[in-house]
This record gives sequence, C-alpha cells and structure tokens, in this order.
Amino acid sequence: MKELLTGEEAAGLLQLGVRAKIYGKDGELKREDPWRRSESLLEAFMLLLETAFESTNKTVQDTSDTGRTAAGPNNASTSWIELDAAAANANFGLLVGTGTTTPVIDDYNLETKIAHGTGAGQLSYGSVSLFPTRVVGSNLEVRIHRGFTNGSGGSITIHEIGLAVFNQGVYYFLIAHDLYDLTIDDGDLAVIEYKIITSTT
Amino acid sequence: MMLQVRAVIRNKEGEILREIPWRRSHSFVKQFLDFIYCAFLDDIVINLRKTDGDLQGVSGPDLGSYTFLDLTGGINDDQVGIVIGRGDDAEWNQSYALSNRILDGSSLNQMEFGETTFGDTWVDGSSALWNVYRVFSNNSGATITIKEIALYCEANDITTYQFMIARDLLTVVVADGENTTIEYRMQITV
Repeated sequence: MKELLTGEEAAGLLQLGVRAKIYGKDGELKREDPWRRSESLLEAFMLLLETAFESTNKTVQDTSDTGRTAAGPNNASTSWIELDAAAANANFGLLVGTGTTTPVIDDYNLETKIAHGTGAGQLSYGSVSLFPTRVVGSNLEVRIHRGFTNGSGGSITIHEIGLAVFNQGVYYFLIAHDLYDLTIDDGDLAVIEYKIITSTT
Repeated sequence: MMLQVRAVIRNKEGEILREIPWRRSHSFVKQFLDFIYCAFLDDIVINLRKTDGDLQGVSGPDLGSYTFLDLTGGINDDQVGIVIGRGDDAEWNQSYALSNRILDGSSLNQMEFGETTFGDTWVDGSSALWNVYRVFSNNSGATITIKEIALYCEANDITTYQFMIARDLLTVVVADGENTTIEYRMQITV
C-alpha cells in the first residue's frame, strides 16, 4: 500500500486510508501501523451513490455474486449503505479474510472471508464503530473501526480486508477491498480502521 | 475517488466554440462526508448545514427520509443538481454554498437551466466512472462569466432542503446567445 496523498496531490480527492493496531491479552499495544492509502473503492460503491444521486434503483452484484436490485435512499425507507454491523455479525461492516488475490474494480466479495467464532481459523468480530466528520488540519475525516479477537487457539494471518454495506435490510454489497497482511496471535485483539478523507489545499 | 469537471461552450446552432478540458475538481465538501456518515449509521439524525447557512436535522435512510443526496434538478430548477455562480471565494472543504449563485431566467446575470442529466456507471479498465451534466443557456442580452460551479443535493423528511456536496472555481465566459454544458465525472480506480 502507498502513503496517503497530501498537499496539492490530495486536493479534492476522496481518499480512503487504512491502518491496524494489535493489542495483547493485557491490553498492551503490540503493533501500530501507519495510515496507508487504500486504492480499492469498488464499482458497487459508485453504483450505490448513483442510486442516491439519480433517485433510482440499480442492479448491483451482491456478496454472493448475484445481481440484485439495490434501492436508493430515496425510496427504500430502509437501509441504503448501512455499515454499523453488530458484534458477531460477519455479513457486513468491516470484514477480514485470508485471500491474497489483488483486488479488481468489480470485486463483489472477499476472496476467503474469515468466519466469526472461536474455532480454528476464526476470529470474534466486534461491533463496527463510526466516528462523525471531524476537522484534522486541512482534512475532513470520517472513521470506521472494528475489533477482531483471536480466541482460536492459534495464530491467524489476515491477508485481505474490506467494507460491505447492507441494503434494504436484505442484500450485502462489497464497496471496498484491500490486501493487508496482519498476523494475530492467539488471545490478541486486532483493531482495523478505515478513514474517508477529503482535503483542501 | 476523484471528481473531475469540464465545460463546453456552443452557439445556438450547437457548434462547439470553446472547451475547458477535464480538470480535477478540488472540493468535495463536508456535507458529502456527513451524508455518507449518516447513511453508514442508517438510523440516526444528524445536523447538516444547508445552503442558506442554517443547520438542519437530516434523517438517515432507515428513518424514512423521502429524499437523500438527490441531484435530480429538472429544467429551470436552480436549487438542485449542477448549479453555477459568479463568486470567486476560495475553494474550501467546509463551505456550504456558492458565494454568488446565478438564478434561472433570461434577465440580467441569469441563465436558463436545463435538466441535470446522468450517465450510467461504466467500467473502463481498472476504473469505474459516472458522469452528470447540465446545459446553461445565456439569453440575458449580455455576456455572463461563470466563476464557480457546485453540486447541490436535496434531502428532506417533510420539507425539502438543499445541501452543497462539492464546489469548484471554474471560469466559463458565455456570450449572449451561447450555452455551456458543465459536466462532472466521478472516478474510482483500483
């Protein structure tokens, strides 16, 4: 992953940043990565924005690779791009996996999603936390956090992460997908963070 | 994600007279992030700054909002969709309105607003792209210089309000009898 763009290079862009932290069993910080630039918002995000901008419905591939009629926020009266998944819900929100294939623009799911649980190869998904727009220097940021606890009895290495949203309370659509290597020892907690940033020079 | 903008100026016969090529937009503004945050949480009400400067509570999609991030400004609608102005305040990601909005009409310093028109998202290589454009005709009897452009969306519960989600400085000189097509392009590249 590359560094976040700054200054004139960043002006007007809507960037997605990502980083991870790992805490040990006693809560001590064992690893803190710097913010890096995610480059993998996906076609589905554009299509979902289009449903809002044009007040219409669009066909979008869901996480099962089935074309679904995604409703816009103007006619759904239900979820549009909901991201605040509860603890133990691995269907949407910030997701993790073990796939290593480079993301492409029309990805519809993680390659190999890690299931919620404490069995071998599983992680316990915490709830997704969102933090409202705040001013950081000349940037505006919205942050998205989720914790993943490893109670599997062995180390687990994450290779991919993503964001999936919930539409109409029925469908799941992947809107971002990145490769990210992160090994979580048994008993440790990984906190993965995305932030959406826009800048003015 | 990148937003780009261009302008094409034509005469009444539709001949292209001048063109301002694609350039990167500089200004998604705070309200756009606020809308996305509100939609991510889905069932909350957040205060957003309207184009008149006042704060307004906006309901998330799951609370039954009737419009949300809606850009469908029709013919003669100078409050929604691509909008234009004559102000030249610096671009800033916390701005909430054009600094000197041009109104729809054919009087002095007015332009006739066409319909905000959308393309479908398409994929080109590793990018997904989406376009929106609008035609503005000058029948005011004098030259008009556009200096700023913006995207105004609507959101409401019972009453409809307007919110600015992007603003750019762009100088487009449109003589009497000419029209200009202002076009935004949104691009995501993996």
